[in-house]
Amino acid sequence: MIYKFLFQNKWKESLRSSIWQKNMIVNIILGILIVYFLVNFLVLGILSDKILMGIFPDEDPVIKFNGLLLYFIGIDLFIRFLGQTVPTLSIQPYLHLPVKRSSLMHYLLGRSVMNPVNYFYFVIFIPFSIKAVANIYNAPTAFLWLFMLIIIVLFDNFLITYIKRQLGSKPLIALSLGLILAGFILLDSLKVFSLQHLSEKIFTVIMLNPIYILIPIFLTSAIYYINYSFLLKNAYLENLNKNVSKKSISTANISFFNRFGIIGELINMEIRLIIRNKRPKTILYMAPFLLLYGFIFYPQEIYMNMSGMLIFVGIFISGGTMMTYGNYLISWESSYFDALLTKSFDFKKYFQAKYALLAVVTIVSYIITLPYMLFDIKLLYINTACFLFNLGFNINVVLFFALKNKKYLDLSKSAAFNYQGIGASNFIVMLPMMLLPILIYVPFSLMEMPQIGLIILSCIGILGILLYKPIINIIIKKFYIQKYEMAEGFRQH
Amino acid sequence: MITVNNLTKIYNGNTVLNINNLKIEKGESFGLVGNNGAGKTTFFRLILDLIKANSGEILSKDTIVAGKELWKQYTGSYLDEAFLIEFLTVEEYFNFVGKLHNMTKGDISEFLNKHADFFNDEILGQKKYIRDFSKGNQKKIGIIAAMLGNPEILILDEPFTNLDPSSQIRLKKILHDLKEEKSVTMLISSHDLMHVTEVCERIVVLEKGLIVNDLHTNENTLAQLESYFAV
Repeated sequence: MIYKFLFQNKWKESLRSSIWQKNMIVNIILGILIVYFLVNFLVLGILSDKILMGIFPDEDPVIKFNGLLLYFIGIDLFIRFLGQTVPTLSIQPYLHLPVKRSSLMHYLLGRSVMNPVNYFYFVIFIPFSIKAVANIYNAPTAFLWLFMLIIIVLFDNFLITYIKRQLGSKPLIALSLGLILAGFILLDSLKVFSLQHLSEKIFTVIMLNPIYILIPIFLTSAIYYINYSFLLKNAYLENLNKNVSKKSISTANISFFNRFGIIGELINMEIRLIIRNKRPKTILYMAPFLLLYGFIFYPQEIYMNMSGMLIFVGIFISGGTMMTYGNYLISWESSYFDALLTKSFDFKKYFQAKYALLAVVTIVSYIITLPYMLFDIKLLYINTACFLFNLGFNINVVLFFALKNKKYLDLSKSAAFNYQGIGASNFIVMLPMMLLPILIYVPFSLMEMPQIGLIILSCIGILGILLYKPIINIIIKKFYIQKYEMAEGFRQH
Repeated sequence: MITVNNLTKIYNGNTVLNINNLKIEKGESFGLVGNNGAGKTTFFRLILDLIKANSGEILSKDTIVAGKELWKQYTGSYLDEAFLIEFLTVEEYFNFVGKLHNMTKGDISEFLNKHADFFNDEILGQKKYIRDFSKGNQKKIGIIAAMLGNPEILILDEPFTNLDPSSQIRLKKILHDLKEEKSVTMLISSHDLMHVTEVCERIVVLEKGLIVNDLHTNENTLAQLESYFAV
């Protein structure tokens, strides 16, 4: 009875979530993205037996697939660590009501099982089980195989819930998880220790001997029970609000900026905003990955000959961090926007500080990624042109679109898989920044004059830098018109 | 000091504020009372140029407020938590606001020392971020920050709510001193009729966006207000 009531409330909460009501266009874009990935995975699932038979011609594709399952668990745990939330606070409104604590904890854990995201992978598993497992073995084995995978997914779900409750979501843990995973892949490829082989054995044994399915069932039940007893012991308000505890505070103050008066003060404040709040901090941690983006493309001959692609990568490595942070500029400050509006300072300086911060990020990214030229000296020319384009053109685009940000941004949640506070303009802004440089460059490249294309990109960038003052003035003029609407939006949360 | 002419604010077809004419003199302590939805906060937001009026204008020192910057130099305000920068420490926040008023670090710490009583050793030197303070202490931080830089106009929304009794009494003293010594013009809204009659010499009653009463405070005012609000 009580569970029915709790789940009904949760259902209402999801249906009435402000995400559905306010963000039609964002929902559509997200919907298209989800369908896109679902179709991709579905195709992968349908083709996976063919793919495996292509790689291992004389072997059983099901066993080979089983060999990947331990890696799947590792990757799944890694993604969950980044993305899965542990919403203990949602039971707060029930704690003072006559509901058994144990029921609440079962509800909390049971709820996570209901999350459809858990079963996303089954778009791959189900076609494979039909095409390969049922075909090579038989239907009951296919069912058993799928059942085993459900148990595995639940195990991952509860394990991550427990780890995150115990340790919080420290990026260091995510990093070490990633490193361990990479280590196993390395050991496998060096043939020192084969996780793949182990995985093949474990899961094939379970698949062929139904009795062994009891082992994963037991493990999953055990981790469920550990979670449950931990929650039962700790479900008190003081523990739920763990983030209020006295953490050591950072005294971030980059004295370099202090000499720039109010502009420096504003930059320092923004740096504090980034390192003291979870959501912008995740973007900071993502930055190194964006810088390493080049390693995906540069070592491969095909990409090195697709110069349009190289422009895309060039824009991304020096501008990626600037764009991901800049995309939500001013929205970052939504919780105290009223304070900014009523304090006496020149908004010119405010926007100059923003420009300076984004420029510093872009310049640093450019310098760090200079060594990419060791792959090929032409990367130096391409990336420099892209860098100038970022500095002179894209930063201004970011600043203009920042004036369209009207959604309150909750800084306390991680940025990974988080669409709270994101509007349609946050997607649209990417078009001019990423596509325009390619559209400018490619015609010249096709006419065998890539240098001209690079020179034009650079000139646009330099022009933007030279026109810095008038552009900032236009932005401020627009800001004074937009600010009421922005403030109004930021207050809604 | 502040003049309001034909001011209206409309949300979704509902007129939430409609003030034909209102003048607040320099040095006046102006109290605003009214039930929820009467338009108190809306009025303050309009004075602070945080929202746009549908018609009419507000003048501060005879110049229009909307879209202008000058009034910010002599107007201190605290309406709600959106006026605090929650991830800063208290000292960082005061330093930031102080610098906007061209105060030196020395000026700022001298100013804070003056209010040490009000802070009751719970606020300064705490090594925690503003977001980790209780509601009451956040309010104290906001109110005192509004007083930085010797404002000529001080606008406070419900300053007494969430404060403990001692702090309420101290705040009344601080406001009293500001008025006597510096003749600061004060605009204060409150649900607490007793406090507001003690602090303010003039009290305006708002109901559904309209001024329904404009009183000069005397010994009968509190009884008058209580009978007005009695159901």
